[in-house]
Amino acid sequence: MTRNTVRAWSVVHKWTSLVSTAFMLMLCLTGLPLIFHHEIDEALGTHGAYEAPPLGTPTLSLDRMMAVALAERPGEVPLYLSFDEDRPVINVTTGPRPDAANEDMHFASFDWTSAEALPPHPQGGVMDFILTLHIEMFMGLPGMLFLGFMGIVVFAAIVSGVVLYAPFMRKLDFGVVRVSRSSRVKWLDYHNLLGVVTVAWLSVVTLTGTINTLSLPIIQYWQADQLAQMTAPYRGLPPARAEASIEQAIDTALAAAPNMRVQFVAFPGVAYSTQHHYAVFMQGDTPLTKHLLTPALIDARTGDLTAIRPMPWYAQALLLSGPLHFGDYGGLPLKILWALLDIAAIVVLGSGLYLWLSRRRAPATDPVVAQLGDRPTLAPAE
Amino acid sequence: MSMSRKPDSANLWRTFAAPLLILGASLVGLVAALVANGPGDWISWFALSAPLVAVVWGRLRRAR
Repeated sequence: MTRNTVRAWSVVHKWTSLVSTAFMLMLCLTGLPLIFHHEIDEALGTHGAYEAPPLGTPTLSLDRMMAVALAERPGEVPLYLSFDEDRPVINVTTGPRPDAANEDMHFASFDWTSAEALPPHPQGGVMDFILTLHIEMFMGLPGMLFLGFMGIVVFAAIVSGVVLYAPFMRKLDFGVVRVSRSSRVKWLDYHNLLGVVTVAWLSVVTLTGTINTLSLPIIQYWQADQLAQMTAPYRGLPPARAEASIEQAIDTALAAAPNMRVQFVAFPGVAYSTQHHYAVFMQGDTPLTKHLLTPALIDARTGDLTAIRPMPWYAQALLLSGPLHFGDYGGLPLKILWALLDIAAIVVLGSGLYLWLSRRRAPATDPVVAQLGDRPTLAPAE
Repeated sequence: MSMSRKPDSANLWRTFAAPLLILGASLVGLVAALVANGPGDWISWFALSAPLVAVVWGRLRRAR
């Protein structure tokens, strides 16, 4: 690698890091409690007390459950119906209109065996604040897209960091931290060590985070692309009312995909459906396929199956990006590892910032330190 | 330092051997729990521990 090449990569690393460090620090710090979102909610009692009925207790008709849910929200329409995985609980989202904004939606949970409403989910708690900050910085879609762009910048910083690792570590054994040298050299070694060992994890979390920020455009593209193809015969027809039995709609969908289970149902007019259908989203029964959804479109007036088709690759990529970003797919040990790697990433960011801030104060007596100055020249490893 | 000298492949391999092993282990760890429960989870935990083990090993190693 020539001096000019190293210098060019150094400029890339410096500026991509400087531009993104503040946002990356915010994302790493807010991401840390979000890894344990479920555990924190349970500890704080956010989910409310719920004693599950004995195993085998028969569940009620979903049409009755929907009637109960809607009776509690007069004047509203059903938007989504979802099912808890580990307990007989259904969740009903309602709103004033099918295209209601998120803040106008109402979310309620019900015991599927008794139709009793579960204690409401408190809104606006500290975890909601952290989640909103992490996802969109309270700026909606522009905030999400901005953070997605920052993800690309961070990935450039990671790639340039890997390229620069070679000249720095040319004469050093892997893992060496020169603690007896100056503070700057010591933190340079920590930066290099922590940076290079977390490359794979940080790259995956960064890229999946970027994909997650594109969730709305991806879903909109899926609607315009696949959903429009699946519902071509309905084009131009007036919106349908949800007259067909939701229970039968689900049975029809499951009959078309017998090895799947229903994750959620989108009612006519909402983002994940059409003006004429119940969109029954089903997931597989393996660890991998349970993250991949297959929608079945059921005519909301007749209850007949209109179409069933797996989500396209770009939507599957979005669906897999969720677990790969939040690390919630391998039990508590994986979450703990996720948190430790997140802390390692914070140290990489902090040490990088320290190396940049202290560049002018570096004593010229140390040949390593001297060449880590403001100019993008690199120090050889000793 | 002579940046104009091309690094030989042996030197490059020596520099990147351990990071590549850790990168491979991390990728296995990231995927294992996604494709299989039980053994997949265990493989994931062990493999994804590799970066942290390397850091602890580096920290305990005698500084030059």
